[in-house]
Order: sequence, then structure tokens, then C-alpha cells
Amino acid sequence: MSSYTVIGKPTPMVGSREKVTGKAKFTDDIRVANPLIVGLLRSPLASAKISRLDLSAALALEGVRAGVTGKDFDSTIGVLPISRDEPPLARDCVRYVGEPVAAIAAESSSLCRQALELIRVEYDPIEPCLDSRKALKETSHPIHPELKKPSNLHKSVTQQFGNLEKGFASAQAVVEGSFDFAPLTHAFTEPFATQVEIDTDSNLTVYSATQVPHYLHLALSGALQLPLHKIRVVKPYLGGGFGGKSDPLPHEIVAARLALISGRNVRLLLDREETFFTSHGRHPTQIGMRLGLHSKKGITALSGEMLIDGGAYASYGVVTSYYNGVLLQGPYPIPNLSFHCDRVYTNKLTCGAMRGHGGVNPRFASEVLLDMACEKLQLDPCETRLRLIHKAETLTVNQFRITSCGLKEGLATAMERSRWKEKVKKLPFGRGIGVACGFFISGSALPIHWNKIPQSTVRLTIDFDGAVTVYSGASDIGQGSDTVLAQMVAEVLGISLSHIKVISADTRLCPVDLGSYSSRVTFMAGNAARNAAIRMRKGLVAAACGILEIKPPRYRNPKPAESFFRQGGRKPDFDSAYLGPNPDYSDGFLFQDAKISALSGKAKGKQLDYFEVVKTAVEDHGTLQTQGIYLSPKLGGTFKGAGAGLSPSYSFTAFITEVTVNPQTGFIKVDKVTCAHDCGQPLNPMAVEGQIEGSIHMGLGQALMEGLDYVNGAVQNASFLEYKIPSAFEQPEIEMIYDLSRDNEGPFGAKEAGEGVLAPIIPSVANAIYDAVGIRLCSVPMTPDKVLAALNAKRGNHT
Amino acid sequence: MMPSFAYERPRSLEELGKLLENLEAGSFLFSAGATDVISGLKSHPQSYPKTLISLTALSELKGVRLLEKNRLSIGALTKLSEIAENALILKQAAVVAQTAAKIASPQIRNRATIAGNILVNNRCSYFNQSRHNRLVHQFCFKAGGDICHLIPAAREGHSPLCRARFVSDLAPVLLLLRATLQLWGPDGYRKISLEDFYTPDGIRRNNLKSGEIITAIETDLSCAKNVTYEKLRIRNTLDFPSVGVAVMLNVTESMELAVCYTGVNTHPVLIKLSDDRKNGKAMIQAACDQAKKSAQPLRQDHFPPSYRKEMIAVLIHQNLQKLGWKND
Repeated sequence: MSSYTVIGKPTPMVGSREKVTGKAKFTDDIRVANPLIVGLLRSPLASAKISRLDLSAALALEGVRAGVTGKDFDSTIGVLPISRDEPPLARDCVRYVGEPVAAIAAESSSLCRQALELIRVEYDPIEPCLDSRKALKETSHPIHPELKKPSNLHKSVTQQFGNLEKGFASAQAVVEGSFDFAPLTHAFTEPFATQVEIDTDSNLTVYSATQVPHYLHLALSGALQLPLHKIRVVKPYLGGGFGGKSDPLPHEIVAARLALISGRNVRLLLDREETFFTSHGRHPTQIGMRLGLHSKKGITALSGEMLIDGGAYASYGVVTSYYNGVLLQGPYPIPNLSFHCDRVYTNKLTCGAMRGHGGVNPRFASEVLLDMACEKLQLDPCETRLRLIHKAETLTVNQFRITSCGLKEGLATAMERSRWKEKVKKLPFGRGIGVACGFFISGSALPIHWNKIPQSTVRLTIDFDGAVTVYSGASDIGQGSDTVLAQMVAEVLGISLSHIKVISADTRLCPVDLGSYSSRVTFMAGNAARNAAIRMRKGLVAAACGILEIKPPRYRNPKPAESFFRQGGRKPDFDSAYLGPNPDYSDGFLFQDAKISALSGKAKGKQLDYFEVVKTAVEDHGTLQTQGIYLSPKLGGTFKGAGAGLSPSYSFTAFITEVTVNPQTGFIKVDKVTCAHDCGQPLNPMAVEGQIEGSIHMGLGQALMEGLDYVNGAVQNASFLEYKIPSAFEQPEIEMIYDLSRDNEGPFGAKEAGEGVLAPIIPSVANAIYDAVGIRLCSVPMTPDKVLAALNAKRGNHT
Repeated sequence: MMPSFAYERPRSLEELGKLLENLEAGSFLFSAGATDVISGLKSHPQSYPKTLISLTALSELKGVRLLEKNRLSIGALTKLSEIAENALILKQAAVVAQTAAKIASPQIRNRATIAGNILVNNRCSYFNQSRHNRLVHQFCFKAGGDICHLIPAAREGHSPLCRARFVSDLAPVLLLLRATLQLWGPDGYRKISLEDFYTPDGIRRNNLKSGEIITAIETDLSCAKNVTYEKLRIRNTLDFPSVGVAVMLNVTESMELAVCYTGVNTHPVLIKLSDDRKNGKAMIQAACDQAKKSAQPLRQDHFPPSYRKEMIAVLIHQNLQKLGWKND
């Protein structure tokens, strides 16, 4: 049992009271002084040349202060330096319905709206490319002519490991299938908003609803040709992201430009439809996959062909392309594996990162195929998976380092709790049970911008009042990152959360953190916070020793954590012992309840008040200040694309899901899910449970109902009434198992929680449907009409 | 953003009458629960009239009471949440309360009224859109344009033919309860049976004249226990019905079967059958066939048209099961 006092205890989120009482200030709640209101004119066409764009009538309107078009920007933006292809405002041509073409800053929103109506635009329509298969073909008018490619292919990636032919030959069952997946949006609650304050020296403070203040900082500097130090990015309270706020986005650049031109503060709030246009959701995907299974050898081979429809611009697309293949490398060994993924441009909304980024759709394919192979070999799908799951401390064929893995125990427990054996294949027609597993990264080991700045730095200060301030660039987007950082510091310093204030996601006040994406914050910023706190503790121990008139401890430089495959040997912090789950600080003191007690030596049993120690330390040194950093160890192979999917640690998940299928209406009711999530040490069980519940909710949305409805390139359901997010009624009973391992390199043994959970819920539903009514659905969402069509087809076959 | 508009809240029908004397047709809009009105105002401020007349202070439009001859009167302003919990309605016409309880969401039911549900605007994936989206596809007939995107034959210059679908949950139930609407207008009161109220035009929708309002809904309670309602929607809350079917089954010396479905055509479709020989199976089949034949679903809902068409018969059977009908 752990001896932690804060870690592992259910802890309400920092700021949750502010949120539920309405006190929390989200971006649009900030009141910058006397702002101009910014509005964007958007393209009604999916593809066209802009033959005329005239703002003069709009600018002539009394109260209109500034207007910009694509010509006011010299460079294009994009989160990945290798594919910055998006102009902040369309230049020369438009590439999707809803693309911003011009922007106006006016004294009021009604003036702004009037001015937008006065902008004259003439378009020469170009035949749009709306189909991902057609996008692969040669065309005379590619969507991105500047790339000088004959087709609309954006990125093609291939990887192959082992010997596929031999692998399939040695299988006892080879199964294959074609799968397709609808385009999705994140559907976060808070719409996009940006406000910009400008001072008399043209220094900008940009408040924005973003997951990535650091990348926005860099993008603003690049796009506005403004030195970095003249820009400060602040993320206020944020109402959900799920990857949708993890790119620097056009409206943020445009708002800042308008502030610079007008010299005025500006305010921009996108409505819900514009938020749909702006979010880079999950790629519509087509997958052909083949899997070979042997009852003893496991998965002998797997090959996949993926076609992902990226929409108008690149966004995270290059990463998504790789993730479609590399995230198949767990949770089971696949010695012979190949995949090929094409990402194409089409005249639709840009796609990018969304919870489970790139790994969700292929996970569906592979888990359904595994189920089919088990069926063919008459193997129990759970028992088979139990045998297959990675052992801890292994290396996959593509050189992912699996450190901890508690999935085997997790799945076994889930089998017991769900009474799998009593149910599988034994439930009456219409009711079924299914299983699926998955895994996910705990942060990308490689930064997007290649540099040597630590991926996370956390700074701590304590002043004479004993209050601890944690400075971190990490973005709390509702997932609880502020809370988890505060918890770690409180744990190390033996004080309560009320002593701690986290100041985060402010590029001026906080050290660099790469942002809240790829499930990296708990692991990376967490390690940095923990290490900063350990250093702070050393300072307090020294002061305590002064008061007690004893010699400061001689730190046993603890052994590096059983470092398994620390490839390349880069030390993640100055002292690798500060990584990992070991709570032994080697200082002979107990820090608890704001008391510092000597546990050994001459002063054994003596207890000091934390505030007294702080006061002494501040008298000696002034304000106490420490910092901790995190840099991933050097990982991975040297082949092309070896960096994709590398992570210092991986989370694992298994779902056993029970459904009822109505054979008359085709409606699927998910009755119960049993979830085993190996997130290492659960730092805040309340947050872990919230993440699991949220992932199930979001995953079931994709599984059962969500999808963007395109007609001629326009999204027809860009509202929360017509884009069907499941309601509380659709949320099933959930049983969770999540205390399954301790990761040697995670802070207090923790790993990612809550992103990897999403993917396997979807195939677990599909596999349960098969158990219920004997149909294999390969098109997601699995809507009632598809269920009925499959049932009818099956009945037809039988008669 | 909300546009500015004049707001009136008359205290009596008399006051309302005087107010209307000075307003031209088309220059004002009534609102009660305002759940439809406010969202429309926000998305299309340009196309909304200058004056909003709130009916919420009209006490003449309130109250639920039993009338003579086994009839029940429900005031037009009765909120859906009130209907769902009203003891009298629960006792006399439980199907009305149960249907109201499953409309939209709790927040909307706390504001929306029974008359509002009867008058709820028809919906279409090209009409219920932002101004931006309407510009993308061109404004359709219902939005003041010259095209229907769903019926390509009705292109430019044709008379407006609008196929926006009818989505009231209560209308099919009330139709089977032989409801009559009590209307008030500048010319005084009049009554109209609900059966004669709706028109098969997605724009005009019903026979309410300018300046007219519903004051009460009267239903016949004699067959209320023989009516049930079932609907399909992808989520168990919030959504309008993709298909909704009410069924009335009355077996005495003869057999009477009535079906009314919503969510598919431009108006609720009522099918009435009776048979002295009590050939139930054949009658049910006939009802299903007629429903299928009359249904004209279009691509304007989450579910594909063919699926919605097919589901009418399934819902008829689900209702019959609830009504205790046993398929032999």
C-alpha cells in the first residue's frame, strides 16, 4: 500500500467550484478595455478562385476600424513545421465551405455584421474534390498546387517489419475486412474565442481558448513577423478541447493582426457553426486490414491499408498518417506487420488530432478482426487476448519500449466482474457481450519543433507566507492538469492543496511546456513538477536542519530507477532517481500536515512547523525558488518514421461491453461496460474516473451516432441539436478497474489516463453486437439502419 | 446575437385585440414558451418581424379542466412539464402526459407549451440552418428563396412546394383523441377540429389565420385509454422524433383502428379503419400498407428515408403490443 497522503486520493479539481458557480472566467468572459469586435467572412464554396475581393464599402462604414484579407499575411501556418500550408485568411482561392476569406474589426458586433455583408467577393468556382478515392487520382487542378503534386495526395507512409508472407503462412486463421469511418468533430462545450490586448509599444497579450499556448506563441510570432518577446499568450479557463484546440488557428492570427493594425484591443468569439468549421476533427477513414492468428503463436501477421481524408489543410495529418499504423503495435506483439497510409486533401473541413489521435479507427479494425479470427479458431476472445498481451519491459518490433503493463491482470479482473464466461455465447438472441483492448502513448517523446528545450519545465516559488506557487506552461483544458501538478507538489512538501496556487498556460509567467496534447501532461509536466518539489524540499530540509542544529542529510544518490532500455542514455533530469514511483526522498524527514519531523539522528522525533521552516529559509535566501524539467529519454529505432508513436510509457485498456440489440428497429442499447484501464498509479482517482466515463461517452458517440453530414462539401449538421452527441440516457452502467501498475518512470508511477480508453470501447460494442445477433458491422457509426440492413441481409442469406 | 424588437405582453384577449388593431399582418409574431422563437431570432434576425407579442400573461389561455360529455380542456399555455405531471390529465388521458414527458429536454419542457407543440414549425435540413448555410445552397422556398433542394422537380419559378417535415409529438395523439382547437382572433372565437387544422404545405402548415391564436385544446376522453404513442429518435432526449406513431385500438362489437404518424410528411397522417368482422390481422396489415404508401420521407433527418418509412409499421406493432393486442 502506498503511504501517500495526497496522491491517490479522490480530489475535486482545482477551480471546479469556480466553474460550477459560474465565477470562472473563460476566454470570452475576459473584459479587455473597449475592444473592437472581430468577425470573419466565410466562403460559401468548397473550391473556387477568388477573382475579386473588395473591402472598401465595408471599411467606409462608420465605426469600422480595420479589415484584412489573405493579402495581409505573408506566411502560412500549421502546427507541424513540415506542413504549414494554411493561410490565416484564404489567398487567391478557397478550399472548403466556411474558410475565412476576410475579417473586419468594428466598434460593435452589429456594425461588424453589417460590414461583413458589405464585402464584395466574386468567385470562379472550381470543381471541388470531395471524395478521398478520387483525391488519389491525377487532376489538373490540385487543391494545393504549390506542392506541385499531380494528385491531392498529401502524405503517404509505409512501414514494414518482419516477414509478412511467412507470418500469414504460419497462421491458423487469416481474416480480413474493409472498414469505413465517418468524419467527426470534438464537440467541446466552449466555442473558440480569442481576445487581444495591445499596449502602446505594440506588445500583445493574446487570450485564447487553446490547448497549446506555446505553439500559438511561436505561430503568432512567425505569422505576424513579431519578435517572440513581444507576444504573451494566456489560456484562461477552458471548456474542453479533446485535440480540437491543439493547433494554432487562423482566427487567432487574424485577431492579433487586427489588433496590430488598429492599435486597439480586439475581441473575437466564434459561434457554434464556425467552431465546427474550425475544429480539426477525426479523419474520415477507409481501412482494408488482414490479420493472421495462431492459437499458440498469437497474432502472426497484420497488414493494413488506410486512406484518410484530411480535408483542406495539413494540420497534424503527417502524424495522424503514422499513428494509423504505429498505434497497432500494442497491446499485443505483432512480429510481422506492415501498413500503408495515404492522407489526401479534399475540399472539406481540415482534420487533425482528436482524442485517441489516429489510433482509434485502425483499433476498431484490428479488434474486430481478432474477434473474427478467434471465432474461426473457436477460441475464447478474452482468454486469447489474455495470452497475447505484452509483458512489461518488452520492446515491440518497431522499437516501442513497453515499460509497465498491467493489462493482463486488468482484463482478468474485468472478465470476473462482468461474468464473461457465464455470458459469452450464452445470452439470448438480441443480447451480447464483447471484448476489445487498446493502448496509447503517455506523451510523444519527440517534440514537434525539433529543439533541445525541455518538453516541460515547472517552476516553484515559496515566499514568506508559506504559499507555494506552481508555474507551468501546461494547459488545464478541463482534464485536471493544474490539479495533478498541485497534488504532486503537495505530496512532496507535506502541505494541503489550499497552500498551493497553480499559475499555468501563460507564456510570460510560466516556463515552456509543449502543451496539452498526446496525453503528455501528467507524465511530462508531472515529472517536472515533482522534481521541482523535491528540490524545494531539499532547501526546506536544509533550513530545518539549521533550526534543529543538526547536519544536513547526506543524500544517498539513489540508484537510477531500474532503467530498462534507456536507449541512448539521455538523463531525463539531472538526477534520474527523481523519476519514478519511489517516494523515498532519502532525507530522514517526514513532511506531513504542514509539519516537518525528523525521523532519525540526533533530532529524531522533533517536529517543526512548515511555516517556521519556510520563514527561516526565506530569511536566509530570499524567496525560495526551484525548477524541475522533463526531457524524454532517447528512444526508438533509426528507420524512416521511427519517431512516430515513441513515448516514455504507454497506457493500456480493456473493455468488456454488454449490449441489447432490438432486431425490429436495429437500436443498440449499451447496457454495461466493464473497463480495465492501466494508467499506472492513479494520481487522482476522481479525475481518472471522470476521464474513463468521458472516454466511454465520446467513444459511444462515435460507435453509435456521431458523424458530420456533408452535402456538396457543406456540413449540414453543424449544431448540437443535429450533431448527435449521446445524452446521459445513452451512458451505460460502468464498472472500472484502474489501479493496475506502477510505471518506473512516471511521476509517482503514473501514466496517461483517459485518451487511450476511447479507442477500444468502439470495437467492444461491435463484437458484442456480433455476440447478440450475429452480424459484423464494419461501418462506423453503427446506426440502427445499418444494423437492420445487416440483419436483413443475414436473414436473406439464411432463407 | 439577438436583434432588437418591440415586445408586447397583453394582459387580456381584449388588450390583445386592441393591440392587433394597430399592427399589420406579418409585422408581428406571437410567442408563448418561445423555444422556437428565440432560436429563430438569433439565427435569422433579418427575417423576423419587428414586434414580438408574448401571450404568457393571458389567463384565458391557462388551466386544465374536465368539460361535459367526457371532454377535457387543456389551456394553450399549459407547459409540457405541467401536462406531464397534471393529475387530471394523468388520470383521464395518460397518453397525453406520457407523450409530453418525452418531448425535447427538461429545460425545454419547462417553457414550451402544448399549443406551441401543436404549432411547432416544420423542419428541414435546408431550412433549419444558419444564414451562411442557406447562402451555400441557396435559400429554399421556406426560407424565402426559389428552390426546394429535396424535390429537384420544384426548381425555380415553380410554385413553392415545401416538404419540410412535421415534428409535433402531441399532434398525432391529440388527433386520435379527436381534439378540437378553440381559436381566438380579431373576429372572435371559433372552433376547428385538429383533423381539419393541418395542411400539407411545409410553409403554410395549418389553417390558423393572421392574428389568430389557440386558446385551448379540447379532447375526447372516451377512447383515451385505447391510445398509445411510440417514437424513434437516436437519443432518448432532446431530439425531435425521426418517426412517431400513435395508435388507437377499440374493440367492441366492431373493431376500430386508427393510426397517426408524425416526423415523416409535411403534416400528421391519419389512417382510420373499422371492420365489423374483427379481422384484426388484416386491418393492421392494411394500416401498415396505407402508412407505408402515404409516407414520403426525405433526406432531412438523422435517419435515412427508407429506414424511417420502414419503421412506421414497426412502431404500429409496438403500440399494438402496448395496447394488449396479441398477434395470433
